[in-house]
Amino acid sequence: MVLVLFILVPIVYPQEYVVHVLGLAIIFAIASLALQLLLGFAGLLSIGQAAFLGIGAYTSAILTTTYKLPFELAFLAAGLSAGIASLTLVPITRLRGVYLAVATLGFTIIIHLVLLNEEWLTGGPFGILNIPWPSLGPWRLRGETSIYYLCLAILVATFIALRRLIPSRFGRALQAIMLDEDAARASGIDLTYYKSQAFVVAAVITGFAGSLFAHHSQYLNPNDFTFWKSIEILLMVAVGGIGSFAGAVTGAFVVTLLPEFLRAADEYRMVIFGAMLIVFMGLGHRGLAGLFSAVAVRVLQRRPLAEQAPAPGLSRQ
Amino acid sequence: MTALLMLDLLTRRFGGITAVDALSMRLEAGEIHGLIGPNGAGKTTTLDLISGLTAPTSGRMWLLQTDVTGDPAHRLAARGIRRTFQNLKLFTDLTVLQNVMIGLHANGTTGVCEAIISTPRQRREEEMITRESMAALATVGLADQADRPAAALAYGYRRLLEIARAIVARPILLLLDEPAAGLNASEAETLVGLIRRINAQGVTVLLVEHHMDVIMAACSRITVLNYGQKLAEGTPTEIRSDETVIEAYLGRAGLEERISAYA
Repeated sequence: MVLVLFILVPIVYPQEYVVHVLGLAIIFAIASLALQLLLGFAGLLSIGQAAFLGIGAYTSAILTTTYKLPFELAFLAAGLSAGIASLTLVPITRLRGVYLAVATLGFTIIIHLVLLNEEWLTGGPFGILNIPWPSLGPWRLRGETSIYYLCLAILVATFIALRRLIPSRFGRALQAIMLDEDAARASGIDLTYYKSQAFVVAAVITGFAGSLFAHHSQYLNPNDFTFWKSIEILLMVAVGGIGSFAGAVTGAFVVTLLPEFLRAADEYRMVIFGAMLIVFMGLGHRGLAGLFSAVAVRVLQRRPLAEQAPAPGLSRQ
Repeated sequence: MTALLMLDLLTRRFGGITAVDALSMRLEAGEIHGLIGPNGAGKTTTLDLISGLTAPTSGRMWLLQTDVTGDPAHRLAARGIRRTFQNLKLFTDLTVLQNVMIGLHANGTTGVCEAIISTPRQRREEEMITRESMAALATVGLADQADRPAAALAYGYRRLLEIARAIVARPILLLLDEPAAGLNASEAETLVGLIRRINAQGVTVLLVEHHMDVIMAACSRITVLNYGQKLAEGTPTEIRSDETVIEAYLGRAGLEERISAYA
């Protein structure tokens, strides 16, 4: 049902601007799905996702501009290069919580500096211009609508892939590590191997998102990939609800679109946005996904929440 | 008899404390071996060393004549050493069945790509894992709880779930860390029966326990630890009459009381 809505949007609202911003939200939804795998199912707090997005974006942009390679190859190379880059994180997978977060933050800062300073490769502060529209075999996808549908297709594929991954041997190993490392080890799970693999899978997906980002904007600038972008992706997952893939997609839309909706509020829009984030987080760590399911439970059972969980003081009477 | 596991002068220090001090020990294949001692005697550290969760400071360890000293926990688990935990380490957000399925991790081979494409081989492996896990749940009597969240289980059931997760991969050595803690007398009796049934399937058991009735009923041999060192070793009858054990651990009155309660 939600998918039909997504498919209909460009037909109902054919304005280029609307479709462009929605396409951007879809690209970030893919990136936040990848972080959801790390954070919600392996307990790995990464603030390094912008680096993988940047590596994917630049790989794809350089291969299609300088080397004139077709988009399909560049897209695959984007995922591959981000995946290979994530292998440099293997030594830090033994870190936990805040320590891991800070280390991945350092990774984002380094990659940003590389994008900014290696002018021969990345164009330095001027970035890369005139990135071509993507092509699929004989077709060249021109215009916002066709790239919107391409991004949507990749989002759906990513969503399905991750949903299949969670109840698999790999997905169970990640959840075991998240819930109890000692019990996971004693059950035969190699922590370093699985944490590293989780990072690689997330990096490949984020690299794909980066490739879409490059061809969607048709222009890249190193400042698209500072640690702020990492924080934004983390916000999407947190707002949507940690541990829910649908929540990660919702969160990506909220975080990408809300500032656009608040444009009318002008200079106050980021203040309002910040306040809304605080309210969202006040709802608990389950985010919007948790809120929706709580509301759904209440509506379905048709009785007030207080009756389901009586306060200890009342039940004693 | 062949030695399943041999510890040779195994030592573990934490800073200035020697938790396990030059412990040498033999586990014969097929026995149920008790490991007892007062609080802080180094029983749990010994299990941590054997299961690889802690690396020894010095000493050696052999599993079936193979030197496995310092092997990490996941490799020892794959070699067939499984354990339960004194403080219950379940994957509480997952279902009972999923908890047991994780115990079969080392028996599977499929990875990320096969799961995404959902290949026939991957589906067969999942079916095998589910079937084996249900069988392990049936062994401990939790088959009807399979789809409940592990966190929703009653305390005694959680202990049984840990055992199911440990035996599902058909280990050669099962380490049980106080499995009877918090159980009432009849639950403890059921537990002894379960340990015996697992042992009868060819699993050697090392049992750490404070409930002397469980130890005396289940074990063929007992090792007594005190301050990280081996104090005594022998059959339950020998241990019951060992003067040093009685002095150090049980206290004369306490022992007689416990034995009379059991007999």
